[in-house]
This record gives sequence, C-alpha cells and structure tokens, in this order.
Amino acid sequence: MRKILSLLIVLVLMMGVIGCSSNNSASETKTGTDTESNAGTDTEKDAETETDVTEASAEKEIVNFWTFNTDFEALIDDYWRPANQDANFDIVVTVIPDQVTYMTKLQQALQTGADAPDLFAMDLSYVKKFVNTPFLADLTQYDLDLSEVVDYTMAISSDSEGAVKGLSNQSTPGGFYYRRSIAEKYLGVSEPEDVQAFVKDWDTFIETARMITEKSNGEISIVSGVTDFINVFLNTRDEGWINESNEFVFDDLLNTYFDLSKTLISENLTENHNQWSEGWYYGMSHDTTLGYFLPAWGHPYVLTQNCEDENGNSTSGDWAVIQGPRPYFHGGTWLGMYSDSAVSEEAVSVIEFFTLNEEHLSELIVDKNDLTAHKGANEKFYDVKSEFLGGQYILKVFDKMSEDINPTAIGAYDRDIKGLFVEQLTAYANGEKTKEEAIADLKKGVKNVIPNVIID
Amino acid sequence: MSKVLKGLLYALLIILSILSIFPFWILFVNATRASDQITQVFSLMPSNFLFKNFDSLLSQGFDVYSGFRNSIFISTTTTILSLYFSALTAYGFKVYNFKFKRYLYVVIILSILIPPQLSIIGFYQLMVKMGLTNSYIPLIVPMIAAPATVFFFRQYLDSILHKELIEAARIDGANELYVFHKIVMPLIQPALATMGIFTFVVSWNDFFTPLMIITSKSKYTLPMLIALLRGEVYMVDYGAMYLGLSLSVIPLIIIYMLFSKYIIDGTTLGSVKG
Amino acid sequence: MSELTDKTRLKKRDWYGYLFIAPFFIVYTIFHLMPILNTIFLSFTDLWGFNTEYTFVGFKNYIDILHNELFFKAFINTLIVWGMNYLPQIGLALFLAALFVSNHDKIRGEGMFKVLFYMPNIITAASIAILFISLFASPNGSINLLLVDLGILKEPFNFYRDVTVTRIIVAFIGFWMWYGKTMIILLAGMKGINPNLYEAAEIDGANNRKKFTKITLPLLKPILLFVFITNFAGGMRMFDIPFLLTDGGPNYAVETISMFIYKQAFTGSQNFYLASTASVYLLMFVSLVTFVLFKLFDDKEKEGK
Repeated sequence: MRKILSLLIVLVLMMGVIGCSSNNSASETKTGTDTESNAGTDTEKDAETETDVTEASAEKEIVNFWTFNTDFEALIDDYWRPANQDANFDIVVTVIPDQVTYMTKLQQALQTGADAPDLFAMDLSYVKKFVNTPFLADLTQYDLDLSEVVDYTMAISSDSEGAVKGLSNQSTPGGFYYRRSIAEKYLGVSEPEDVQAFVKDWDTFIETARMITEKSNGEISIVSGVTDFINVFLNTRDEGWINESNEFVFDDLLNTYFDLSKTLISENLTENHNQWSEGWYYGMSHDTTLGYFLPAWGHPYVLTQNCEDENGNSTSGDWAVIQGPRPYFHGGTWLGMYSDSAVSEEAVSVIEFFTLNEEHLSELIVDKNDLTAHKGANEKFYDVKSEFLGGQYILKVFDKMSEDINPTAIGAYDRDIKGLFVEQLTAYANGEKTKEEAIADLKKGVKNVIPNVIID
Repeated sequence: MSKVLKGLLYALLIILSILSIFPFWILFVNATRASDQITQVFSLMPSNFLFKNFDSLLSQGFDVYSGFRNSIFISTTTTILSLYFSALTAYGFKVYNFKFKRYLYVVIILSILIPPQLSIIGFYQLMVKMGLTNSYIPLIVPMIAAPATVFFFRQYLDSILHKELIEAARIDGANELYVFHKIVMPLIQPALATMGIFTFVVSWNDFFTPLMIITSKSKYTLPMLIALLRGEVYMVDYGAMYLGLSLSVIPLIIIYMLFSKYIIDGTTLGSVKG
Repeated sequence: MSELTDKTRLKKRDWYGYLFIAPFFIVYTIFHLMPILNTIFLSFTDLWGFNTEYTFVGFKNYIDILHNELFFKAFINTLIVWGMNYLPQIGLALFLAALFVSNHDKIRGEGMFKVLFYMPNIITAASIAILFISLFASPNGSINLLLVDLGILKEPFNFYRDVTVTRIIVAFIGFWMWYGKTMIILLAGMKGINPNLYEAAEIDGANNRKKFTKITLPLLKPILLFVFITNFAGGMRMFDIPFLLTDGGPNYAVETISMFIYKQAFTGSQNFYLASTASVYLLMFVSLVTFVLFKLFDDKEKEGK
C-alpha cells in the first residue's frame, strides 16, 4: 500500500510538471492530429501550426469563438486559416459539446461579461432566445452586403426592431427524399414531378401510405415514423408557441399533425421509429421505407453516410427529392457577436467570411454539397447534377424551396417545448390518451417550465 | 452446504457475472465495428474496424494522450487529497471531544444529502468571480472536503478502532500526529482502498463539472473529448465513439484490479484481542 | 494535583480535534457552503432566465410549488423507482458479502466474482443508457427480437411506452449499477471484524446463520447505517439514467425530482427560484429520513447487547 501510494505521488508530481498547468489559457490553436497539446509550457507561442507564422502570436489579437460541436472548428481549420494567413489575429475555438451546458455557459458569460466569447454559434432551436437580448451586436451597423442573403435566415436572426443579430452559413429548406425504385414498384412512377402528385397534400399522402402498405403486404411503409414530420409542422406554423401577449398558442396546424400521426400509427402504416434511432437509419440502406423528410443538408450529412448496408450495397443514385405535402425547413446555425467585444472588427470579418464570402461559400458547396444562405453562391451551382439523387439539380431544387419558407413560428422556447410536444404526440398517436388529454398535458408541461406564460 | 444449494449458488454468481460483464463486452465489440454497422444491426461479434476507428478518432482531433494525462492527473490528485483529508477529519471526530463537535458532524451528514443541482450554478459563478475558470483548481481542491468519505471512515473507525489502542500508543510517548499517521492509517487500509477506488471512478467519469469550468481543449478530460465526438446526432461516428468510451474505461478497470486485493483478499484486521 | 494536569492535558489534546477537521471545513465553506447558501437564498426570490435583478418574495415559492402537480409527481416517481431498487439491492449486496466472508476460500473464483460485480459501477451512465435504449428498442431492439423469436411475445412490445415497464427498467439499471459497490462497502466493513469472535462463537457451537446474525450484523451496524443513508440519498438524486434513457417519459413516468430541478434551472424560462425551492424541499425530506434512520440504528444499539 505504501509503495503504491508513493509511486502515485511521484506519478502525480511528474504530471504536474509536464502536464497541464492551471494558468489561464495561452493562445492555442487547434492543429489536428499532430498536436500533442502540451500546454505545460505556458508561453504564448503556438505549439505547431500548419501555416507559416512568422510573428509570435503573442502579438496577434485573439478572437474567442464558442460553439457546441466540432463543425465550425473544422471549418476554421480547413477554410478560414488557409485563406487568412496574413490576418493580424487568430481564432481560438472552444467546443462545449452539450447543448444545455453550452447554452448555460454562453448565457452566463454574456450576462456577466466575464470570459465572454467574441463570436459564438447558435442553433435554430434557441437562436431566438439570444437574438432578443441586448448582448448580441447588431450586424447592420457594420459595412456588410446583406443583399444576397436568403431571406428567411435573416428574418430568424433579426430582433423586433430590425437589428440583425446573427447570420447563418446554411439554408435548410426541407423536402421529401424518396427511393426511385420503391416508387416505381408501388406507385408506378419514379420521376419527381410524378411522385409529387402522390404526396401533394396530406389526404393524398395518407391514401398513398395505405396503398403502399397494402401492395407490399406491410413490408414497406411510406415513412419510418411520425416524428419525421416534426419540422414539417412545427417550423411552418403561422404562430409560434408563445405570442406577443405571452399566451400559449396551439396552432391549428398541429391538430392536423395529431390526426395524421394517429391515422398512420393506428393503421400500421409506418414502422413507428423515432427520428435518429437505429431503426430509422435502417431504411436508408434497405428496402423498407419509401422516403424520409429531411432538409438540404440531409443528403450530404445523413443519407450519404448511411446508404450502405452490411454487404456493401448502396442505395446511392436511387434517390430523388421533392417538395412533399408542405414546404418547410429544418435546422440551421447562426453566428453571433458579443455586443461588447473588444475585437469587433476582426470578429465581424470572420462572420463575413463564413456567411457572405462568395469564394469561400462556393468552395463549401463543392466540398460539402450543402446549401448556403447566400443566393449568389448557390446560383453558381444550379446546373450541378447530383449522382446520389439520380441526376437531379439538387441545389436549384432546394434553393427554390427556400423562397417559400415563413419562419414566424420560430421562438425562444422551441427547444424545450418541442420535447414536450413530441411526448404528447406519441402518447396520443399510440392510443395512450385522448387528444384533449394530450393537449391538456402539453399545456401543463409548458406551464411547468415557463410559469409566467398565460394558458387558457 | 448441499450440492443442490451449491449449484444454485454458483448459477446465481455466474448469472450476475455475465450481467456485469455484458455492457463491457458490447462496448469493446462496438469499438471494433464500423459506425453504420452499429446503427443498423445489433451484434455480439467483433468486427475488424478497430484501427480504422482509431484513425478516425485521431483525425477528429481526439487527442487520446492529452485526455488521458489530464484525466489521470485530476483523478489521482483528487483521490489522494480526498482520502487523506477525509481520514484526518473522521479521526478528528472520532477521537477528540471539542466544542460544537456534534453540530459540525451534523453539517457533514447533511452535506451528503444535498443534491448537486443545488450548488452548480452558484459554484460556477463563484469560480468566475475568483478567476478560477479554465483551471483545474475548482475540480481538485473542493474534493478535500468529501463528506461521504468522511462519514464512511467515521463509521469504519467506530467499527474497528478501540480506544485502548490509542491510549497504548500515547503511553508509549507517541504524539497525536504520529498516532494518526503510523497507527491508524495502516489500520484503515481496506477503507482507504475502497473509498480510493470509488473516488477515482467518480472523478474520472465526472463530465458536467469540468464542462462548466474548462474552456481550453488541451485541458479537456477524456470524457469531455468523447463527448466532442458526438457532435450532431446524424454525424456521429459511433465506432470511433465506442472506441473512445472503451479507452476511457480501461484505466478504471486497471486501477480497480490493482487495488481490489486490498479489499478482497487477505486477512481481517482486527488487531485488538478479546 | 494529577487530576488537574490530566484535565489540562486532555483539553490541550482535544484541540487537535480542531486541527484535524480544519482543512475539511475551510475548503467546505469556500467551495461548497457559499454556493449552497446562494441557492437557498435564491429560493426566496424570483430570479429566472437572463435577468440579473430579482425581488425578494419570502416564502411564496415554497407555497406555490406545492400546487405544482409535476413537482409532486416527480417526488413520488423518485420514491417508486428507487423503492423498487433500494432494499433488493442492499439485500443482495449483504447476502453476497456474507456469502463470501463466511465461506472464505470455499467458493471457487471468489476473487473474480467480487471483481466482476463492481464493474457496472465503473461505466458511465451515458454509456449504459445508450446500450439499454438500443436493447429495449421497438420494434427491432435485441430484446424484442429475442422474445419474439422464442415465441414469448407475439409481436414486439414497445417497452419504453409502458409506464410500469420503463420504471422497472430504470430501477433495474440502478440496482445493477450499484449492488456491486454496496457489496464492496459491506465487505470492507466485514473485514474489520475480529476473526477471534467468530472462532469463539464456533467453539460455542454457533452455525453460520447464528454467527451472521449475532456477530456480523451488529458489528456491521455503523457501516450498514452508512449504506442505508448514502443509498437513500443517492437514490433520491437519481438523474442520469432516467434522463438519458427516456427523458422522463413515457408521460413523466420516470421523471425524478432531480430531473425536475434540472429542467427548472436549465430549460424553459430557467426558473432558478423554483429549482432552488425544490432543492430545499428535497434536502428537508432526505434529512428527515436520515434522522429517522440514525435513530433506528442508534436505538437498537442502546437497547441490545
């Protein structure tokens, strides 16, 4: 026991010397795989960088960037650094990989000003919360050309006085991706315009669902589960959850959602999988599901990653995307700046780079196949065919859809209420309670987390 | 013991053992499978993606070595400090009589019962005020005060420590510190080993507190780095993530193996006859 | 004369007590007490969300929260789920510890078993949750596939939509994650018991059961008290598993009081004042039970041998 104790103490002391000190962060840059980040030497020099840094970075300004996943970290490394080698500042990224902790920390930091980041990312589900505070800078005060920005993305990040508090680098219109071969087999057609006729509104959608299930003897369903429609309905309501008079609103559109789900589940027209569950992914590489409701980034980030089955067979090329019963959008990330940032010019330039710089955005489109929030950049690629989607002009199709998006339903509490809503929807659709009970329980749940909202 | 009883007993033990190993098996197996294999099919058989997953880990900037080092440093110092000062405190309560002793002890008991949510925001704000964010100090120093460990040591001492032993040592001329360090500490080895393992495991797996305090990636602990792998739901490389989880669990298993013999084997330690 | 010097010597020595406990209380006051007092203070205000200003409202929150249906539900859920786990867990741990101690060296692989039983406590709740979500998923989770294959079920059962089943699963996970740890604590406690006592008893003709009930149990009392209290407190704080498994569902079936507090503080309009109030109630409740437990164990000691 003694020996091990002393061994441990020695180990610990050694760690203390070569390991991490507890001084505040020196300027570190993320450099990928060959960083053995040894912050034990707490000088302010970069450890290793790929770019040619002639000045010691102690002389460089630092822009602190907070985000909740590694996406922007990668974007900064892969695109910003190479393009900004001569910049007189550097970006230090902090990733806080849990949304709730991220929101809390960000909130505390902005509120108290202590350790506040200069730049930060905000997800659609809570961007409104931050946009409506005085802690975000108004980007219209800076010399930025906002004319080509996709409208709805700016509408979301504008506060009630028209100040633009954030910009997005992504446009996220949503559609219905379907399998051409399955459509051919059970609908008799496979071209987008033809298939669209089968899902042009909800009644037709249900009819089609019944037809597919019957023809395939229950082997194939039209969608994987009823949570596929979550964004289709929630994001396109005329009114959000809480209106200007602080009252809770149950938009009539949600009744449609309730009814649709009930029908689909009680008649066994879906596999009853939840979005992002294992079973939900399964249909992307096998023949069990006609289609998925996913946005523009669904194709590069979800379908392409999950289209191969265990034997290496891929469904790539067998897909196409159409509007579906209703235009909608799903997700998005906005960049905001701290209103009291000491490096505001530099921070704004970073935002500009990621959201308004056509050259960068074009590169992004080529590399990621995703849709940006910049019409000019998107337009350049209208004639690019997507192999995955059987030759469709994917960007053109989606960019058109962006125009129809009406984001008035987006609110500050979306993230929390969505969870409550899904629970009640599932309960109702699975026959666990009546619709009145479900809605009543939803109201109770909302009142519980937002006590000062007015509920009838 | 009858043969039937013995058989049943062994059956029970074996079932419990399988139940206990089961998740580890899945963890390790999944670390060797590719991400889409994992999301699509459940399997108990390993595959051959181990090295690919490891490459994926590294390429995602998952600095295994840094995470390891940080976690080991934090957990080890926490454990040592926690054990030593808890034993000290428990002994103080056991052997001495001083004013307010009862009330102070009640405070300790009460603090075991306090739910962590009660203090996390206040704790964070305090650390911000003290300028201790992005430092290991808030993660280690507070562990000097570990009420549950103190409680356990106190109960343990109640169980095995006899006044005669201490009196004997004092008569022999030993001073108080000597008695504590040279006589009592060795006596409570099983308790130290037990609490040592628990403290280490809890400290190692603690995710939320470091998340609130630490901001530079080079100081991230292993669990934090693993969380980075999760990213957005749709882009998770599950194979790499399971590998990360496996790597995080292995040191704990090793430490546990090393220290378990102090609790498990060996003779009992009653040292006072009669 | 010698009496006086004895007393002064005693007094002087007792000052060591303060010395020994000082580090604990200094650190505790700075890092633990202040945040806690801050939170308790908040329960008398109406601080929420982004606000930095608040008003003092006295005991209003304590009364208001009693009208909150979900608050009570969470309390009761916690008791139900933890109740299913508490006694069986301690019981099994005690049984196993006793088994190993009284049959020392007679059970083959004893050391290995002990090592294995603690293992589930090492894995983080997050990993366990991922595993159990996929195991009990419907319709294609492994358990469903297995049960349907074996003919026990006609069609897949949606486990996580059933209130009772979900509670049982959560209770089971808690049981399984902690029984090993409890067993080890009891083992450590048993190690401290003087083997001579057992020898003496054997000479007097006592069998295993008598040895256990007359020697082991009574001497184990301090450790048992520790186990009962810490398990109870830990159970009431249960958060990770129900949160990660079903986020409290279905229909709040496993929404524990800790989850209630967390959601109040970190979601919605972030009602810190409600979270604090609920926390204080939780503390009062657990303190009450602890007090009762202490009395129970103490009484037995006083009246018994």
